[in-house]
Amino acid sequence: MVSGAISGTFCDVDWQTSRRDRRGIAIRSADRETEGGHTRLLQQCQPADAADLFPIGGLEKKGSPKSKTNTPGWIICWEIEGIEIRRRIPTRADRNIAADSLPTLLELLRGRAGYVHLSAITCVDWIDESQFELVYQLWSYESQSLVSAHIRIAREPGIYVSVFDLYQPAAFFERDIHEMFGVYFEGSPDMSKFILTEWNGPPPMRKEFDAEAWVNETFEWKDYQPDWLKEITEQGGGIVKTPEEARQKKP
Amino acid sequence: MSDIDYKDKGSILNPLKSLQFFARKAVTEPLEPRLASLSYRGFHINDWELCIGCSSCQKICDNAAISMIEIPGLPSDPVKGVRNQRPAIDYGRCCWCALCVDICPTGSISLSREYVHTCTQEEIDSYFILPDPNGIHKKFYGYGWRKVADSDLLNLERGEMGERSADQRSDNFDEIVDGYNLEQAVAEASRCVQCGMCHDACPTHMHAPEYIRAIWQQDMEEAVRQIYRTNPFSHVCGRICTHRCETACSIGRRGDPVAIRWLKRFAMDSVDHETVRAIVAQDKVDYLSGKQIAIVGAGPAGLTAAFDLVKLGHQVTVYEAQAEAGGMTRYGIPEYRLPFDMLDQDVDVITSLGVTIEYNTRIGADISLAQLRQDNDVVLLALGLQLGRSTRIPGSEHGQVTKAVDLLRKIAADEVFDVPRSAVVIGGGNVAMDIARSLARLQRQQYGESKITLTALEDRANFLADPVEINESIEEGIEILDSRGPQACEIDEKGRLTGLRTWKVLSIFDEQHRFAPSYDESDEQVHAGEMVIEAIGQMSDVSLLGDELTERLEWNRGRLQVDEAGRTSETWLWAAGDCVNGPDVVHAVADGHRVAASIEAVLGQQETDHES
Amino acid sequence: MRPENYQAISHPPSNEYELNFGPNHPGIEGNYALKVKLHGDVVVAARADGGYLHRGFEKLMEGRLWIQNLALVPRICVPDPVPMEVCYSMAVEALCGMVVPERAQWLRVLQLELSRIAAHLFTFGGHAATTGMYTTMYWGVADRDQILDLFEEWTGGRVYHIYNIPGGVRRDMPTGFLDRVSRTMDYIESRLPDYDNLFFTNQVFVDRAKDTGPMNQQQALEWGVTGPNLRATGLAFDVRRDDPYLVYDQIDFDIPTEAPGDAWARTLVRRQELKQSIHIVRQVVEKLPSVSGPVRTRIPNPLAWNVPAGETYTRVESSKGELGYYVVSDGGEKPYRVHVRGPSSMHAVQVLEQLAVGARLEDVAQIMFSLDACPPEVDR
Repeated sequence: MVSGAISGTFCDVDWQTSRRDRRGIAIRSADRETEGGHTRLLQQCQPADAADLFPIGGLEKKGSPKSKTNTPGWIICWEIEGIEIRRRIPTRADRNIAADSLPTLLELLRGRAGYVHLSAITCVDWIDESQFELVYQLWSYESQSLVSAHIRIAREPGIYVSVFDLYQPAAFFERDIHEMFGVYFEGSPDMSKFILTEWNGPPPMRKEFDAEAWVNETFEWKDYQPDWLKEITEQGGGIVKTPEEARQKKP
Repeated sequence: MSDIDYKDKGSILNPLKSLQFFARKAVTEPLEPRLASLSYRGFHINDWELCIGCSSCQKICDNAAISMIEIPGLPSDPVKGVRNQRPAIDYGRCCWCALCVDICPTGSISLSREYVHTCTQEEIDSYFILPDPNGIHKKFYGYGWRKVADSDLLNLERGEMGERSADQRSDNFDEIVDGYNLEQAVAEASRCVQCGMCHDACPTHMHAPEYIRAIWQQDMEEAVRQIYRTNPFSHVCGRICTHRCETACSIGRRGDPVAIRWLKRFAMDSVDHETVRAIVAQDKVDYLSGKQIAIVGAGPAGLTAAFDLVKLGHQVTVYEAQAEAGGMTRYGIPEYRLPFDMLDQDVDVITSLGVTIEYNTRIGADISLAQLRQDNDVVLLALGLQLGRSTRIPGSEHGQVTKAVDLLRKIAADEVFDVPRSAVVIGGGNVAMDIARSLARLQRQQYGESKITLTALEDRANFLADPVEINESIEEGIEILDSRGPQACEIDEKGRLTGLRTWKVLSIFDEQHRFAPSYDESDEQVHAGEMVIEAIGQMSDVSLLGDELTERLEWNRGRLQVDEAGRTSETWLWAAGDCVNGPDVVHAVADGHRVAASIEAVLGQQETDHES
Repeated sequence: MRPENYQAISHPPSNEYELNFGPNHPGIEGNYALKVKLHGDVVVAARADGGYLHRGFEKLMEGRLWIQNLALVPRICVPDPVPMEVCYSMAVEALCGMVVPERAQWLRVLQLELSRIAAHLFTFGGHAATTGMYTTMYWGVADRDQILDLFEEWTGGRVYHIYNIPGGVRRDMPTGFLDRVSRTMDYIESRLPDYDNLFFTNQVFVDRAKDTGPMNQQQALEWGVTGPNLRATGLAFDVRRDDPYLVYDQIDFDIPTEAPGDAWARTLVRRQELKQSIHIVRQVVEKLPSVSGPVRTRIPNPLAWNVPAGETYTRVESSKGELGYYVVSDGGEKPYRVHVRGPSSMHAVQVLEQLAVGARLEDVAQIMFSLDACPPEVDR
């Protein structure tokens, strides 16, 4: 997961700056396999820093856009193993966590920090790494900040646990990801097809499914024969490059 | 909260209030056909005069709706970058997004304000349209979405490249241009729309779109591979080629053409020499054909032919009269345009394949042509144009009157000679500029200042030299006088050359377009100079042929006559390059390829003839 | 459902029967189906069935260059296409680190608000039609046409504008355009009392809409409801103010809310939002002449443009709710993954199913329109 500086309508914050910079601090994850990530996280920064970084709560004044620049309410994640946090701008944070820690993280976010709104669950097919990445976007009305949690699961068998008991909107997204990618969510109330009820092929959003090839095999493109083309072909001209050939040329 | 009082029960008179609607205009939409807005994205129209058939619209169409149709009868001129192809659009796929309009390099395609087309199922072929200036129904409804500067998707400006300023360069022979760095090259390469006009215009059909794309993808070895498919002299061409590609570039229609030549230079400079040799060696066959080929002249034509033939397994020996290879590229082009070590790299790649070059060997003097004929299966003459022409004006036999090519050769070979304090150059082509600027540098090195006057028959607008050369010459302090015809060299009573007398030129060609300059004798000037250099053209030195062969061969206006294959009227003797086609490096390269291919065909034919 | 795929199931005798609401039904906004199981004329169960408008945009977008996707993106939400374009452009700009010039940002705000007004007028029309009041529908569509005329003059297309591009907008507005915008806003504002008389304060409508499809704030938050539907339950959340983008932090506007959370409240919130949008448009029209500069940050040649690797989630407030785009780039010339989170993903499926239960058959269509559920967003 890489990410560049975000500029434009958001403030310019380089998330690589050192921990002494209060506004744009990135906390690296420790090695997940060897040492427990969470304890080392706290050892890297002084307790005072931690409190500054992660004050809990803090209701923002509603309707005041300038409150964006104050530190929003973060959750102290020391209860979760192997978490990597990248804070991009004061209102956004990305976290990579181990797959089995996600439900715990979501429970904490929902319960303790008010991230009650699940905006989206996205599945990304990293076929070269044989992994699916699931991204959960969570929004807190109180602190007006967005957290996106990224997890990776193995592509085969592609099973994960549903978060429907925490967030009801998950049912729709999980159903959609199931029919599009083939990922099964255990505990999701309805895994039946919603959009592709008459489709019997492989989950189409997977990278190995070539939609263009399928279309070309299944349907016939119209072969037009208008008069002007017949005239030109008689004179010795004609179609020299079809659009399909132009597309293939792109490396 | 709301400003709407929904609890208001209203009065009993409310229904009467509705009567006001009789007096008001009905809220409705008119049904008559109406003209669309001024920037509406309607049906396509294409100005066939402007359209060059580059197919950029086809590449950007997101629905793959555009096909290119070849239409016989339309102009097709690869040199100018015009194809006789026009786009045809499938309206079953098109979504009228106008990306084609915004990317069109010439601005020929636009969308009109027409938007109605109906047909029955039998007439569905009418959905495939060939946009012309009037539109699908042959009635012009007015321009809709046209290209404006804001919406133009192309980047029309070329990236700046660093150059030595006149002060920095005018007293040394260091290379003038800096070349691109990686960032600049990638940015410049991204301007290309991959239309292929450059490929068509290049005399040797270099795969420019492919190597430009490779540069953009930062795969320089692939770029070198694509370059070497057609041109083993790319360090040279990347610096001094006459860039027909850039003249034909479709971006150059409304903006700066893509810097194809500088990109070639960048790609060649980026890959180290060993890797280049390795890439090139991959194409060589691993057997020997048993054929022996002699090539006279180690210039671009000769060495390109040698490059091709040695890769096919033949044994090639090149005979070069000078001490080093390169021909005109070394002995005619000054170092500030083409450093010798870059040329050496190109030559080294060719010799590393197994080509032997015999230096300081003049055919006709050290070895006879008959000997070559005896020892080889094929002899290829790539003599170049090593002799300068003379104006033969009175005084031109003086010792201080010299030909530009001779003087350039001396400078390149680092021979010592008396650098004159002032000189006059006759001629307005690239060679004249080369000798003027070289002499100016030598003068500054020796005397601290330069005094060169250049006179040419043509007027400034019609000079044969590259405009960039002329500008740089003027920046370096060379006095350029146009429309002056040389009449005589002024020699004083002690026999020293003091200058050149010229008259103003009124016209150069007569009504039959023959060379017959007319002068205004009253406008006479004498230009002071210790040396007069003639740079008015070159000829080939064919003395090696000998009288008997010269009689037997066929000639074409003073040059050897060859057929399309490059063969002379003698079956064992071939000729290629400047000596056949006239001066141009990339043409010489192309010629070398052509001749090598036909030699290979003939040798292969001889094999089968022998076998059968 | 194709005839060959239909399988007849026999049910045991009961006094419940199932009706198929849609996919071609005037009571459905777009092509969508809602299977309702009825006991008499009261709905006891509802099941949403989408997919009739599935065009496979997310897969299509992976096979096209970044700039070619601009033509696909507005087609994802038909009545309100501008937030889609703006959101996609903003996502690509975030990945590239591009700064959008100020003039372009104001132009984008103008587009978004005009599109919001047009979408709301359309929804009023639809909602009125479900209660049988067709005059409002004709008025809504005809007045929306005035705004579509503005878009036609400005962007070259009435519904699918394809006007935004990563870096800004494709061209500047025509001369004199702002006057026409002002006049259209005056016209629409003058029409509002007529709408109120005919529709919003009409006792027929009020009686029909009140207590229909009620939702309290707790339920709304649990179901992931956003947009006017959420504001109708009392929570003032608007992406424009709480997660501001473009120049919304320089514009003064209110966030109207209502408390009851029923169909009437939702419609009323939209009615007030319409007024707020007109207010925003007037501010933009006033500000625009003084904002000069380019309308676009130039991108490289679109045929040779690699967007740096990364991922981003961009959100925009569309007329239906919170619209999100999650875009992943692998550093190439085509997107690696684009996920469109349409606001109606929640509204048209789970919320509609829940709210329909207990409603009478005649109110089911009204509930769908009051939720402003847009099936093209659900199906993509």
